Amino acid sequence: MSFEVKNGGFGYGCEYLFRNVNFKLEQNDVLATLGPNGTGKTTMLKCMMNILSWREGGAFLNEKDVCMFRRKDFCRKVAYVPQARAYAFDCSVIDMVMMGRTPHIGAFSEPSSKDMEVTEEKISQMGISKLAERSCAVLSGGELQMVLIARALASEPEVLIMDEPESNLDYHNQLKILNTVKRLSQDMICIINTHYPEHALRVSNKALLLSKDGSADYGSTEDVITEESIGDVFSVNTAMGSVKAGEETLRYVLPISIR
Amino acid sequence: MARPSPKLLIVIFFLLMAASALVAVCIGTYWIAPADVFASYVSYFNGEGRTITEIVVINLRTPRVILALMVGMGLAAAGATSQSAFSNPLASPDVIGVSSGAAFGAALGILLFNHEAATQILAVTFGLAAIAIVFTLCKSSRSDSMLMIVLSGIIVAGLFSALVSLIKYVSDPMSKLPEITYWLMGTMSGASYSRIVVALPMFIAGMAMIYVMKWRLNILTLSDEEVMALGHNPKVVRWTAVFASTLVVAATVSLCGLVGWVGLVIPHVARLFVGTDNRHVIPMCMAVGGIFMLAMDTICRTVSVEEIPLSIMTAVVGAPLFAILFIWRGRNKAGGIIR
Repeated sequence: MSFEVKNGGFGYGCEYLFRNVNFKLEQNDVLATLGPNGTGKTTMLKCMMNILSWREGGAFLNEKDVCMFRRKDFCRKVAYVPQARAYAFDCSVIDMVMMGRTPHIGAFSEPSSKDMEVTEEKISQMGISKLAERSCAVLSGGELQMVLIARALASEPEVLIMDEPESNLDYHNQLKILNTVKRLSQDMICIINTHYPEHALRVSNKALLLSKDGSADYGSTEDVITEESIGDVFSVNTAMGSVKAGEETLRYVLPISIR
Repeated sequence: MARPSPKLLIVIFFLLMAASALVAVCIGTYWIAPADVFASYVSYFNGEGRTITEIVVINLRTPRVILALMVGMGLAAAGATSQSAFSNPLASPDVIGVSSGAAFGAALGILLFNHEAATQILAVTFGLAAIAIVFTLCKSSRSDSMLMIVLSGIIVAGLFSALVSLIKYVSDPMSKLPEITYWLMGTMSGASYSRIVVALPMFIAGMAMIYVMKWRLNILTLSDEEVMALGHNPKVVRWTAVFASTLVVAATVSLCGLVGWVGLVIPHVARLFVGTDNRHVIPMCMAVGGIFMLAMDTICRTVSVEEIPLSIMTAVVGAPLFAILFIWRGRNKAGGIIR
């Protein structure tokens, strides 16, 4: 499996949000997209999902232009986890996860027992079986995020696209989500947006750094995330450091002052 | 606390509905025993002589009970559909102006023609016209966000209410005006098979659409992006749902005038029993709506010599019911368990 963006560009009016976005992801790759607010990180994910149309270039799933897919076929292969938000209606966790099966269910049919099995499997895979009968309206941010990931997994995708899955969460839940991303990346390509360079350094092997002038820097995470690049893109002075945690060496970026 | 499965509850409520339908046929100006009701049906289908009891059962009470069931089932299911389509628990088919359109059509029918079928057909036509105008407004403003649909609905509803007032103003206060007023408050008197037959095709078409897409209604509570990411076009799904509930509402308005509160309250009652999955909510709405409407209509036609307008009864019962429901739900929500 592969997911590729060639020469991607998008903008509103005559201005471009971003241009010349190029990357190619293969099995087990995790791509982290970073950039200041308003550089179009979420917009780019929507372009990748074919929810918005690229103005330039395009996205390719297994070498095939995503525009050439039937919407349903595409959504079986590429799943999207939006930023967690409150829903107007109460909805039980199990019903919410079941919605992820939609691309597999015919226009005039309803979920079968197989769909139910997959739903339950994904719920237990995400470790939220205890919540199955709960209302999504009363879940904590971390719990809701796990539900939304389970919903995306219910379509059994090859590519999982997540919009800031770990933002607004506490340390414990952040690590839980990051570990989940790491684990999922063994079976599928993962693409995440994040505001935290250290999260990118922790889970991703590829990184895409968007800056306010619309340019996009892509490469291995090690190469892309440096003291200088983060400093330049976010207009701050930064210091990069590392700590040893058992076998692992973890790196972090600390913002020092505004430039 | 172990809860009965939604499917079991739905079966129980449908049985209850059947039982209340039978009881409703028995109740009236005078009581007819269930055995006599059965005997009337049997002798009717055998083509035997016409007793008074038979005529009352077959020609008066049965069509009325069928009408009440249709209207209750239809308005409740259409209400649940609108609430999902606008992902707003307070939405009802009135929001998009269907009822006002249909009311105008019916008032116009009463003013211009003295013919029942004409009134009915005009009600349906203007109900559909209302939704067509809403759709056109959304199209020409190049946006069919939920907000735009609701705004267009308010515009259309406002327009048609004004036109209804105009018709009332110009109509003959001795004959036409009372008829229009009475009709706008909803009534099931004058129920007849011929009336039901006129509205039936549209009613069935709308209900079938709602029933087939009931699971898909669930995803409409998500954002448009999420719906697209699940492989559907949110506009197509939303408009299909709106159109289906419009068909049903226009059909019911053409049958018995404006009946408020049912479409708003009954879906919430149904959710109390079966949770929020529309696969269960829609059938449950049909059963509860049918029972509710039967009860309301039976009260309307029996408590006094003069019939009470239906809308007064549904509001008098529906409004406090809604209040109790919300207080009760608010108190029980702490556990966070749905149902």
